[in-house]
Amino acid sequence: MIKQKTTFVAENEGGGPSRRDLFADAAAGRSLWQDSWRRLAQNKLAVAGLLYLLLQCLLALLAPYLSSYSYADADLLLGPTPPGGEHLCGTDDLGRDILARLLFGARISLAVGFLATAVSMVIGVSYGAISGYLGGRVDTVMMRLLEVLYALPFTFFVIILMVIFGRNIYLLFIALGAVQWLTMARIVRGQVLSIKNREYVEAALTIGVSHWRIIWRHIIPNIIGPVIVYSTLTIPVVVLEEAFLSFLGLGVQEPMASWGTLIADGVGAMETYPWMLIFPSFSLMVALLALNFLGDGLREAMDPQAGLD
Amino acid sequence: MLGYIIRRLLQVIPVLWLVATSTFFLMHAAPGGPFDSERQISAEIQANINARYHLDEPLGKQYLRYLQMLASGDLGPSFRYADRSVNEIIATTFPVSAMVGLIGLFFALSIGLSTGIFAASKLNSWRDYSAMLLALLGISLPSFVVGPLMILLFSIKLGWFSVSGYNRLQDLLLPGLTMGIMYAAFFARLTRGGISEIIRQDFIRTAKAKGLSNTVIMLRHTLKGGLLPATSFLGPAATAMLTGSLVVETIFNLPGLGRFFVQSALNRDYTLVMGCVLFLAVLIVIMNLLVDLAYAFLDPRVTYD
Repeated sequence: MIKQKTTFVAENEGGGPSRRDLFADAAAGRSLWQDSWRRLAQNKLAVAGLLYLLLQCLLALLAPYLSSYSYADADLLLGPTPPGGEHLCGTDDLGRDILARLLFGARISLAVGFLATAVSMVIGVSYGAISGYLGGRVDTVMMRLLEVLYALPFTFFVIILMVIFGRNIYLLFIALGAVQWLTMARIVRGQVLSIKNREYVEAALTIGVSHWRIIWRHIIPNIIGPVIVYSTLTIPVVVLEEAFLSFLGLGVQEPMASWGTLIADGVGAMETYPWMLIFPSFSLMVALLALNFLGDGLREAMDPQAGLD
Repeated sequence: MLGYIIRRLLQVIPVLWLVATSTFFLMHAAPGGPFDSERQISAEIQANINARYHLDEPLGKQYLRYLQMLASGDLGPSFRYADRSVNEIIATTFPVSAMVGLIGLFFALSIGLSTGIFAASKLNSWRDYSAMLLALLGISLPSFVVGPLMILLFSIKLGWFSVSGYNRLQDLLLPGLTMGIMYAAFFARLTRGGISEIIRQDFIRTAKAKGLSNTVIMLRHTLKGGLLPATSFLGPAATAMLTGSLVVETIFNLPGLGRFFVQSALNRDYTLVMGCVLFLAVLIVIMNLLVDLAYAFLDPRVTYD
């Protein structure tokens, strides 16, 4: 945008408004980031998603202060009680407060979502950037390897890992992240490949700018948009994956809870104590929906040319 | 073209080797073995069992023996189900998983494509937005939430289907639908995106100028290119439906491959775990190849050599 403006200035010199005025206008103009932010702020669903997620994170962080019960406080004499009164979301068959378990469960589910995505981002971006920037034979070999990796049934590997090394929450972060980086690597590589052949990079090379500076000034700012968008869309996938593993009994361990284990407990009791299924399912669904709203909104905001998909 | 297919099929070899090696050493690194049980068995019997399954040999030798067996297409005997081979177990359980997967794929494609085409033909109208909102809702519905709710509604309240187990073919309908919903949502979004991209092209404007009806334009000109994004998602989706069957098989209590797999990993049934993973890897390679070939058919600009 700005580039075009300056050529416009050069062509119209003398005729139109003075050069100084136009530069003042350019200085007051908006950067691409501000543009994106504006577009995002106009998207009501995305803003609602963002606000909901912030609220959910806050609730999860403050869980010990918000609830007078702990996720592990069992009250066998009380047993399962329907929602209302003392226990807003009822209690499960061991008399544990479901709201407390949901709040503490959100900590696990969200932490897995963010951390595993961060792991996938680090691996994917470095792999893709190295492959794309070096190009040539290195690129060919790395992409062939990626093709082979695409054919591996990764979910099964995560299951084997969880079975073998026990239900370790840190292992879960790494395992889930290590599985999700393939597409990220592809996206980054494609971007890098197209950017490094642009004229401005060539121009920078000819005036003797170092590789690191090119990567820092020209490549990274250009790939950061797609990386953020794809990461936002990876978070719900990972949250879902964790819930899926916990549902199979391979995620977090009792009495600790995540949304997945709570749903699994709820399924077992759905005919007699339906609230045990309804509240956790609802929490997971709304969180996933919010994440997807935000991810979609970000994608449209950062790359208005790309449609929905 | 043939050369391309052969080269892609040869890709199976490094995939299989990688899978076999990593799972072999992972499984053997795990504490516990396939013959641990509550019951005390005498050292002699233990030694006999170990000798029978070559567990007394050094790991490297076991590994080579396994690869050798693999090369002849034999996945070995199951350690836990004493008189059954892994090939046999896969042959009996996979058809169930495949059937559920196919039904799921059918639902995903029929619901997803029709919703996507509907939304794209009414681009940026309230119909389009509500269809896409629905799709976003569908993406946020995990199968382990949909499944139990379906059982609650259709099996328990309405009594249309059996609650669990697999006796008749229609018992696979609910599991298939459960699995299909989320992918239907993905397909709907991809189809809408693909078509809305094509609609803006010049050749569509030409077709309109020629006076062709909307239906003809959609069927003859738009659809072929508009379905490309959905096609490229077909491979991952089909794969995910096979692996995703883990949850559905657990919820609906079906005797499929996925459930056997989780159980065999818990049992340390080395050969069965590796057999399942290897089998799936081959399946994924073949499916990805089919999708790429379909891609070349839909988009003449794509050629393989």
